[in-house]
Amino acid sequence: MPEQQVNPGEGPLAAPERQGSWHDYAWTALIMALCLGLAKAVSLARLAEPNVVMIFLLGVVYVAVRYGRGPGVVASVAAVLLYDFFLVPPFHTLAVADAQYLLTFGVMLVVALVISTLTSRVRQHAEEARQRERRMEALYRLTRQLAATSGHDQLVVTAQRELSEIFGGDVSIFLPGQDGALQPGAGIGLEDGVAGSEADIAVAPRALDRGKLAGMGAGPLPSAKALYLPLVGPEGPVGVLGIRLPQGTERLLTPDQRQLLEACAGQIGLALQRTALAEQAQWVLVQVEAERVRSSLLSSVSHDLRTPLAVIAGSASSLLESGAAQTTETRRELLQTICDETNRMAILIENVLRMTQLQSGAIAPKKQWQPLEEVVGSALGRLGKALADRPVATRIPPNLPLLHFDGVLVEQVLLNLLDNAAKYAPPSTPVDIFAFIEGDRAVIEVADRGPGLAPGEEKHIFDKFVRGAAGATGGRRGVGLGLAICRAIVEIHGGRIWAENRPGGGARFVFTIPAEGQPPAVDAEAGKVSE
Amino acid sequence: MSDIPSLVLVIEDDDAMRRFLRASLAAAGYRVAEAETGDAGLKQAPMQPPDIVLLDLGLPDMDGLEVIRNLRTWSQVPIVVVSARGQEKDKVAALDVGADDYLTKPFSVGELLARIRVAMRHAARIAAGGGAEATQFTVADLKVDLAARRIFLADKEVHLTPLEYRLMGILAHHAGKVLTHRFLLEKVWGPPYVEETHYLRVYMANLRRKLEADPARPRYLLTEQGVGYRLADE
Repeated sequence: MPEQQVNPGEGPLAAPERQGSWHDYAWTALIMALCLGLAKAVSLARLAEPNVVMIFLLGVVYVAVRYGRGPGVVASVAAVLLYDFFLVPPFHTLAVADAQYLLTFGVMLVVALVISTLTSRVRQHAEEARQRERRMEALYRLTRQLAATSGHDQLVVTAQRELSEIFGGDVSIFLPGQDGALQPGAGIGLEDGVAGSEADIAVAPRALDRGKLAGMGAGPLPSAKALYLPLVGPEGPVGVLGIRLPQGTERLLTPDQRQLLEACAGQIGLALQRTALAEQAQWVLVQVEAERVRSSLLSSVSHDLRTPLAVIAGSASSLLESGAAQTTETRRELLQTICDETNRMAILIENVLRMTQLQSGAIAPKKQWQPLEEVVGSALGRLGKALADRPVATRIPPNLPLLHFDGVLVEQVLLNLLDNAAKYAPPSTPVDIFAFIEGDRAVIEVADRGPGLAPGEEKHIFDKFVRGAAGATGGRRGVGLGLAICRAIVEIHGGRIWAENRPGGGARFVFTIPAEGQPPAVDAEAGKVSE
Repeated sequence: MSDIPSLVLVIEDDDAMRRFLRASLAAAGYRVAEAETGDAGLKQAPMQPPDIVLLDLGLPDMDGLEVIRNLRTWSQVPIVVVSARGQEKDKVAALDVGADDYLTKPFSVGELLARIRVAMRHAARIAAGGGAEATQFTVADLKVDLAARRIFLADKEVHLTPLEYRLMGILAHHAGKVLTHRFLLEKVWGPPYVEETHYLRVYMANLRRKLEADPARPRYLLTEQGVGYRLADE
């Protein structure tokens, strides 16, 4: 769409041009004088009388076509008078010698009037058609622009821009906010859009309530500086359109302009409602998906909860009922089982809760600037025994800048990845943690020397309820949520997570955190409190 | 510790949890007093002053924070709160109103006894020193001489900047106890800095670089993610 500056008064909305202005009549006079000259020449050349009449009729047709009905009628009368005065004997008087000329005059006047009326009507129709076409074009362009736009805010911006181009004024769209009160839409605010005098602010909601035009020269508070139209969708009003025509053209809109404005408002209302419905449909879709996830979570979890629970209950009741008959060794074994299974359940429940919170959006990451080293340290500290005898090597450059992330959540990612390594990699194999900056992101890697990933596994391993194909060592099993939680956390930080096999054997899990923005400065020895 | 076993006041509404705590604490040689509600706990405490309070934050009758505030109006008894994981905000709030430490459910007997030991040791140290920094603190190879304002690592002096020392001194003074970000920022940098957690983090990183063999696997300066820091005392 070419950027074009539309001057006020020349847009598709400009009123039908210069009707009956004085120079139309001046031109009419000039043309009739020309006709007179031509007719005089024809008459002097002794050509037949009808030719003279025809010349005048030609002039009348031209005037009617060019300047419309008023000048046409003037030209018709002028033609008869000029003919009589200058070309019918006796010359230079309105009197006529031959009475049959009266008939000629009469016919000539009637013919001239009829022609001028008809031609001016044709002209008017053409003008109207042109106006209509321009309106349709404007409307079409608006509709196309609106259709090509998605998203509520974007739609408002587009509508405001297009309307402002068509009407050459300030445009602002008001939408009901959360509390139902009208608020200016995205893009243009009250201040720089439709100037909000107190009166104007009061008018906009009225347009919505009444479902009718309000503001400048219309309805209640006609003194408002701008005009307000309700934006009505198929299911009722969705907002208000405010428009203020440029200074100097603050005249009332013609019916045509008003019609176009209303048509535009209709289109915008439709588009707004369409977006609202689409967003609603999207929301429903998300709800359905969430419901699906919840139910599969439930079925998976209920199985994985019941198994350890059964083991705990069984072991405990065995101890209680026949404890005396059991050897110390057996009792110890049963107690150990209870302990292990309880820990498994605790991890599972924590994971399920964390996943549910992440999924429902209940966790808003509490991002703070902090060194990565610290969160690696706290994760390793918390894991403690689970890594057992696996040597852990951390390679984090000391000059790694502060990163902006939620410490608790990223610690969870590291815990899950390390726990995974402990589960799948054989005892006493090394686990490595690397971190470095690559472009505008920090890359953190947890690598083990375990069995690695089966072909194709790296794609699905971060999905929910997917367990490693390799099989955990020592009968330790997860529910397949750990990596899904990692992915959810990394994604809410705007990073990426992936897994791949490591050269030389083992798997590496890599995630990124954006390293954008400037970490806040720390003044050396700032804020010292006096001793 | 004297010959009379220490008295632990358990304020917890769950029967099973109380039974577990009673059994474990009795086995470890503590005397146990129990209260099912915050109100009962607050009534019981003055009559039979405990040596330590174990407080569940999720009580039915009143907010656990309210219990801490009330106790702190008249007593400096160490308070260890018990709460669920993922509620770092609650832990921080409890520590900020005067709790000494926290236990995250589920916890093992080992963890429980360790926390109680730390809290009681800390209370004893404060009571003995009268709050004066006349003592020195030693754990493993780390020695903090609070009087001379010097720090040694394996008998070699480590030089710290004044702010680093100030931070280290506060950690050592409260060794074993979790100190919240807010507490440390206020003590070291002053009240206007309580939200500037990155100051604290940068200085902790510097301290680790000077004091830890592997800063990514700290032995002394431990991070309690989302809560604060703790100087190991064992």
